[in-house]
Amino acid sequence: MNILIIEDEILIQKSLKKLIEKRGHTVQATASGIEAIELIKDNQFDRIISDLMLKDITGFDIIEDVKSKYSAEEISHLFIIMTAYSSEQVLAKAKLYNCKILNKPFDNIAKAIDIFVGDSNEA
Amino acid sequence: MENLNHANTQKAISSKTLVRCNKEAINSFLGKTCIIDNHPHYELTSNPADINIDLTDDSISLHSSIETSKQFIVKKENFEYLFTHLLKLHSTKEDFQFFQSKNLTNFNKLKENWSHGHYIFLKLNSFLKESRNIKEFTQCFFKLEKLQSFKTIHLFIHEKGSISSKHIQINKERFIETNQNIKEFTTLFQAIKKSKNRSFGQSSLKASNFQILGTCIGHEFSLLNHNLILLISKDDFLPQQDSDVEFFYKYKECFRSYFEILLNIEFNLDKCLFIFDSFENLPIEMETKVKSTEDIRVDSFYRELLQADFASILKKLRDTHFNLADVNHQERMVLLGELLNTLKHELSNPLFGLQLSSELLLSEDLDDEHKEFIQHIHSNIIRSQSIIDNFSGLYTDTPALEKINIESLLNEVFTLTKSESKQMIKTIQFAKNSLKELETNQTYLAQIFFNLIINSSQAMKEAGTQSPNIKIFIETIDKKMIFTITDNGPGIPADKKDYIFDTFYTTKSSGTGLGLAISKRLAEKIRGNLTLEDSPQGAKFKLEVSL
Repeated sequence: MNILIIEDEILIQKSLKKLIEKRGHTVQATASGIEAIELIKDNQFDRIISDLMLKDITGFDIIEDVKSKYSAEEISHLFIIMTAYSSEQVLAKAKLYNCKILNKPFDNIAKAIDIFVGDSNEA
Repeated sequence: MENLNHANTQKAISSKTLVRCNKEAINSFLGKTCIIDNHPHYELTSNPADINIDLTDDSISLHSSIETSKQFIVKKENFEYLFTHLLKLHSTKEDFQFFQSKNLTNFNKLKENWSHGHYIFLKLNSFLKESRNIKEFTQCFFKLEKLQSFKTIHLFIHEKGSISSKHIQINKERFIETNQNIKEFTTLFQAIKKSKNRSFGQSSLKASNFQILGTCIGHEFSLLNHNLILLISKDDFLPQQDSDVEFFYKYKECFRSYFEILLNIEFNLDKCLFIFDSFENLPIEMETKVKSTEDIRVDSFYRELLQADFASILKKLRDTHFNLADVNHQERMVLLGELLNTLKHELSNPLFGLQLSSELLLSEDLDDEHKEFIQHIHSNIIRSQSIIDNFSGLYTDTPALEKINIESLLNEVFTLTKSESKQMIKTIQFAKNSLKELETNQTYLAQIFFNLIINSSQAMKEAGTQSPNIKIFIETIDKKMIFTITDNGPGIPADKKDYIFDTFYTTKSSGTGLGLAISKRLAEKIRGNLTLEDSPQGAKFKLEVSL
């Protein structure tokens, strides 16, 4: 799988990258949402894992920006949002895009990685 | 002769009337003028102000709830004429009926709130006195201790039947007033009405034409003649505190009553004055009199509000237990809540990074020594995370329960307190009948012991206690687990015993004054109670936990 991680907390970003690479996937990582949008336009990712509150923009902004490239259906499988702060509003918005949302810190790291690299068609 | 007298009385009263509207203003206000029976009449196009009508056997008396100083009494034989007149003034009979019951309901509601909102009520009353309109009244909210940390209030007012609504943005210094489309008002009103948690952000409000910074608490009021939306915001992005939301929930009825009054006064005063004016010109025999202040006090809702004896009630409050220290304490608790919220926010991300990276390292091929180190780092990270969680949990959640082994929990606490309690001899002793396990929240219980042992150790170290020891004795009595924690240190001076559980009270030079206060709260959270016991030597604490 070709995976993109967007996370501005460098230690989280690097560790996640390593943990996923250990499972045999290719991972690119960035801390900037703007840069991520460029990367998404120029590459074909099978999975995009984004933090919600980035320093420049939000994970939802990224989704909005790449809407032209992907259908709503594709977006719901492609994106997984991570957040440390899942208010009702955030959950409602995620529901709008129909994409998975994971709370930080993860309850179980191995399981979280399973979800990241998993086939998103399963529930 | 009698007629003449009445005319005279009427004239005398007229000059005493507080406010008189000029006819010109009324005309432009109502838009329509017509003449009936050679007397000037005005037709009203929407609901007029409240007029209370009391019927007795031989007369009918009319008085306004706003202009309470005046009352009209009409004799029975003239009823018909009067009713015709009233019906001309009001488009339908339904309009008529609500006049009679309206004020009473309001007043009873207010009285209900009085019982649990004494203080708020007093405050709101004094605000009402200072305010000329709903804007000014609402601006006074910032003076309520509970709402001091809020920055902006939005009011949306829609007079039922009207096609536009008003949006007033209020902060401590100024008002911004704009007109709003009724459609937007309705969308907003419904969004707030349907919401369960009463906490909103820009997106959840579907608000397109006004800005809210961060989150806000909102409430909608369906009043008699108006729909009203109140939004109050701290202009920050932290989640709303439960206590704030609860405050609103609790006092919303209280606010409602005041909004009702103010809106009715503001929108209806002119209409009301006009109706009264028109009575005076009716070609029937009518007695006009000024009601005694006693009457006004008894039956006027508005007057009662304006004349409440604040001084004596305030004095009573002051004489009992209202003091500045309490207010300061409250402020600090609010501050602490905010601080914890921010801390949780700021710390949880870096800690999570540490957790991930330490797990990553643990999965690498490392020699045992390094692995052990990283394992320690990892468990410390997890502990820090749970401490943060529990701290913020103090303000909200009910704890999760699990079965724990008491001895292993206590040993764990001893390990955690090693830095402070190294030289202390620590013993755990169970009574013969005692249970060894307990279903409770492990972190809370551990935190309580942690605080007690740290306090004890520090006190004994500072006092240079010889062969310092800490004993924990556990017994089960009457479906209660009782932990007695004693030391042989200097103990707690008699004059300080009353304060040790108070938040921010500390005897240590570097203390925060939080340890025991938090412990006591934690104990309550696990259905327990932490108390200080009398002891001939050293300090003795008792923790009772219901089984």
